[in-house]
Amino acid sequence: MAVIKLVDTIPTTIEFSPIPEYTAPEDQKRLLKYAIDGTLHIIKPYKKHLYNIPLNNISSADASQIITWWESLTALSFYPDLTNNPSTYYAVNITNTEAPLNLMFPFPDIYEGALQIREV
Amino acid sequence: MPSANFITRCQNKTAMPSLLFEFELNIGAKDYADYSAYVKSISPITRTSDLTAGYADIEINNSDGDFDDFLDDTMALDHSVIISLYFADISESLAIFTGYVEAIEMGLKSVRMRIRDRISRCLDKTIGSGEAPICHPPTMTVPTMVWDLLTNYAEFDYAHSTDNNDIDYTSFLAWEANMNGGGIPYSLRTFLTGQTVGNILKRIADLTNSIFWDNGDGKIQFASATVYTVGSVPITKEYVLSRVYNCDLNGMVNDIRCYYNLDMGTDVTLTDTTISFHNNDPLADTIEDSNNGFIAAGFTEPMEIQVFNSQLNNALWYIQTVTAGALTLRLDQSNLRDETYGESITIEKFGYGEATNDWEDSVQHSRFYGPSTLAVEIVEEDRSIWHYNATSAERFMDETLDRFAGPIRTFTITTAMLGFLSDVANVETIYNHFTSPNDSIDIHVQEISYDFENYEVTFKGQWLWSMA
Repeated sequence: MAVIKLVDTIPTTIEFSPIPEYTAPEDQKRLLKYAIDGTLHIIKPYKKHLYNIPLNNISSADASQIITWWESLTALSFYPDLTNNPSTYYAVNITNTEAPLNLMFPFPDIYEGALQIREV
Repeated sequence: MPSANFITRCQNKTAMPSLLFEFELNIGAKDYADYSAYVKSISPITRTSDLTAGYADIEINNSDGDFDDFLDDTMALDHSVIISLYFADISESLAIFTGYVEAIEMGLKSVRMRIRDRISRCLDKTIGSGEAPICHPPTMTVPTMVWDLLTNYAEFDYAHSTDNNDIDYTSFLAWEANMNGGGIPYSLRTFLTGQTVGNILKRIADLTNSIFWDNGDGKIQFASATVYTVGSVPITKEYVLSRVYNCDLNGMVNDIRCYYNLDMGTDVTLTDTTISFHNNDPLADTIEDSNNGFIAAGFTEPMEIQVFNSQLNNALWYIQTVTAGALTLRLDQSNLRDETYGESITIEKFGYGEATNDWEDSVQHSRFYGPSTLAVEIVEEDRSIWHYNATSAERFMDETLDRFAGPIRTFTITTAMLGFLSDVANVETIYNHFTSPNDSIDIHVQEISYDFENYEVTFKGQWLWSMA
C-alpha cells in the first residue's frame, strides 16, 4: 500500500511509497537552556517541513506528472503518512534544483530519483 | 505592543517560537511575502543607543530561483524585509528588525543578503557647507530642529501622523513634550558646515540626554534618557542564562562647564502662518506675507535669506527687492514652488552682522561621588551645536550628572525568550537576584543583541546611582 500522496488543485493525485531506506525527518530540534537558578527552558523552534524522499519504480505517467509539477512549481498538498495520519497534509512545492526523476536503468519506462519537498 | 498571550509564551519554560522572514516584492509597496521556509541562516541583530547602524546577514535558499531578480533588475536591491519572532499557535508576530537589502552575494543555490536598518541609510548624509552653512534659529525647538534634519535633509517621511513610515510619531510626541516641558525647555542653535546627520543627531542626543534608535518596525524612535519605561516582566533568575556586573570609573563625568549662546550677530527673522510662495515664471518669484511684516522684521534689499518649516521651499534664496508684503527674488534665482500660507514658516536672514563670535557666558555644575582624585571634568563649547541659554545648559548638566557622576555600573544579561520583549531605552528590572536593598535593580538598556539561531537575547544596561 502506498504511504505518501501528492495532490494538486485539479485534483490530480499520485500515491507512492519511498524506498525502504527512507526515514521521515525529525519534526523538531530542541534547544535546552539552563537559567542561573537551575530552571530548564526547552525551546522547540517551529520550522516548516522539508522532506527528501528517494523513490524508484515510478511509472512514466506519474513521472511525467511529477516533472510537470516540478517545472511549474505547482502548489501541492502533501500527505506524508497515509498509514497512520491519513488526514494530515501540508501545502508544499517540489524544489529540486535538477530534474527530480530519471530513467531507472535498464528499464525503458520506469523512473527513479529523489523528491525534495518543502512546505510553503 | 505584543499581546498578553505573546508575553506569556515568551515567559513559558517550554516555547515553540519561529522566525518569520518577510520580503517586500515591489519597492515601497509593502507587499510582503513570507519566505521564512527559505531561511538557511541569520546573523545576530544588534542595536545600540548611540545611533550605530543596525545590520543583519541572512542566507536564503534560492534553489527555485525566486531571488534571481538580483541578476538583472536594477530595482532589486533596497527591498524592505521584516524579521519577526512568531508564535504559530496564536498567529502573532513581533517585529524585531526591519531593514533594506543593501548588498547580496549569490552562490549556487543560495543568496546571502546584507540588510541595513532605515537610519543607516541617512547617517552619512552631510548638512550645510562652509559656503552655505545651515543655521537653526532659537525660535525653533529641539524636536522641531530634529524633525527638520530628518525630513528635509535625511529625506525621512515628513507626515505628522502615526502613519509616518520612518518616524515613530507616538514616541516623537512624548519626547517632544519632555524636551519642551518641565519648566526648563531645551534650546539649541546650530551652525552646520558639512557635518553628517549621524554626528549631528549624536551631538543633539548628548546635549539633551536623549536616545534615538531604530526600533523593530524600522522607524526611528525617541526617548529621553531620564524618562523610565519599565519592561512588562521583572527579570528574575529563572529567566537569566548568564549575568555579568561591571563597575568602571571610565565614562564618569563629575564637573561640566557649558558655554552658551554663541554671538552670531544680529538676527533678522520672521515666523508666521501668513507666508506663502509664488512661482511667477517668467517674472521673478515672490515670497509674500499677507500680514505685511517683512520691513518691520528688518529685511532689507538685497539680502540672502533662508526658509525653514516649509513643505516645498526650505533653502537659501537671494532677494532683490523688499516691500512690507513681498520679497521678490533675483530673476536668475527664481525657482520657488507654489505653496499657500497656513503652515508656521520662518524666513531668516542668512548670515549675521557684527558678530563677535564669542559666548555670552558659561555655567558650571559639579558632583563628586567617586574618588575625587579621579574626577573627570569636561567643557562644552561646540561651535556647531550649542545651548542657546543658561537654563538649557543647566538642565543638560544636571541630567548628565544624574547619569554619569558616579562610577558607571552596567549589567550584561542573557535571557532565553523573555529578552525578545525588550529594546534599547527600555528599563528592565532585575528582581530578587540580590538581597535588600538591591533586590530590585532598574537597568537602562543601552545595547541589545537578538540571536535567532539560539533563541537568546543579550542586553547591556546601566544601573544609575540614586543621586540628589
